[in-house]
Amino acid sequence: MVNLRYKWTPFLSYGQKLELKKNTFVYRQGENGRGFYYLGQGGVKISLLSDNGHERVIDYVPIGTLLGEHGAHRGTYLTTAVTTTPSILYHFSDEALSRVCKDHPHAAMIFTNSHIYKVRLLAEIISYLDSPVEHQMAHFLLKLIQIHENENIPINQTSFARYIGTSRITVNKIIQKWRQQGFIQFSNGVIQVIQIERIREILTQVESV
Amino acid sequence: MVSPFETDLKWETFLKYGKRQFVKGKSVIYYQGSLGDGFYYLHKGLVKIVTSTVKGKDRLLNIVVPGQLLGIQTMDRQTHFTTAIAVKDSVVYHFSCEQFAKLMKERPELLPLFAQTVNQKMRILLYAINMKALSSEEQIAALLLNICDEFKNYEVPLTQQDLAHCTGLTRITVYKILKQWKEDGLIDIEQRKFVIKRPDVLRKLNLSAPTAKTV
Repeated sequence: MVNLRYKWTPFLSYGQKLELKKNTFVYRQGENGRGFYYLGQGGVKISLLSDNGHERVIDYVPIGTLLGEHGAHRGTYLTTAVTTTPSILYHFSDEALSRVCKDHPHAAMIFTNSHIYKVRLLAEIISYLDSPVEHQMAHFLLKLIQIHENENIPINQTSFARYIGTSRITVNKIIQKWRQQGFIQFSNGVIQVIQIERIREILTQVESV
Repeated sequence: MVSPFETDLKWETFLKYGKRQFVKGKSVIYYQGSLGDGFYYLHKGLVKIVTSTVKGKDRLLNIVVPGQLLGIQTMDRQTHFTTAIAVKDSVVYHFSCEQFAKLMKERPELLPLFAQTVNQKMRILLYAINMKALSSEEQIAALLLNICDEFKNYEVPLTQQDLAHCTGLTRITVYKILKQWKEDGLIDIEQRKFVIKRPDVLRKLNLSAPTAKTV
């Protein structure tokens, strides 16, 4: 992910700048594709809905990366993207993409790598599906630190539960446990990681079981 | 939904750029964790794609049928997150990253085709994630129907063990459900394959199969 950040920034002039309020849908699962987006500022969460109405958050988009690559080339949006704060995005239609690729042939590979990264992200979720919840929470918490480039993570327990695919109660139990152990602080929907090393240890401990 | 066959058949015209390889049944085409170079096109045979979870359990993700690509994720020159095993003797065409990157510059029409193929892989993985929200019966029904649709055939060449791996359910759960369905006349269990007799009934069980939706 780190090496994909800001790779697309040189091509922003080909896109259309959008200023979106909090809780705005960027695209919805099942809609016909109208191209893809670049997150310039703010935050976007990506979620997956099953037909029985179950929602699972699968990603929080890092600033400086692309989203909705599946909607390019007249594809279909496979997930839903919603802003979590007021955000600035850049929209790239299929025409814009082909103009970028024509002027800068290496852009095609940047787009493709970003697209493939999304497949890897899903594979990563699958590889943790059968892990204990504490293990999954530690893994995704470390990931959120990377995404936000900050140890204060704005996420409430309901959202965290949807990210892990479990109940809020289960998440709450572990958050309380970590708080008592002094690994984290939690207030007003912000998790502050105090002892990142201890969270990393949880991962290795469970792995060795 | 765009049939996987329609997009994949377009690859036929590019086969001359690939390197043909023969793979014996049960042998591995690439391993999870190994550094990949490029991808494969399955010309003949059958390949299963397995991933090992962090906990160390194997999970069958996908069955690749002729005309489809595998290993496409390593075009970013990172490691494979799956293992590909030939189920029977197969013929594949291998395309290296470098070759493909060059080809893409010469033939820009490849980019949309490649993107469609990546989307198809995404759909398979999203589907596996969604599976977790389904009941055991729904999971097995979804899986059987999905494979049926891919093979365009109501005989599914899998074992109960394969179904257990694929869904992450225990073999006993899979066995119980299949036994019930056999008694109800929905399926027949033969040596190393299942025959779907009442796909209509299974389809009602299975609201979340991606093939049942118009994507």
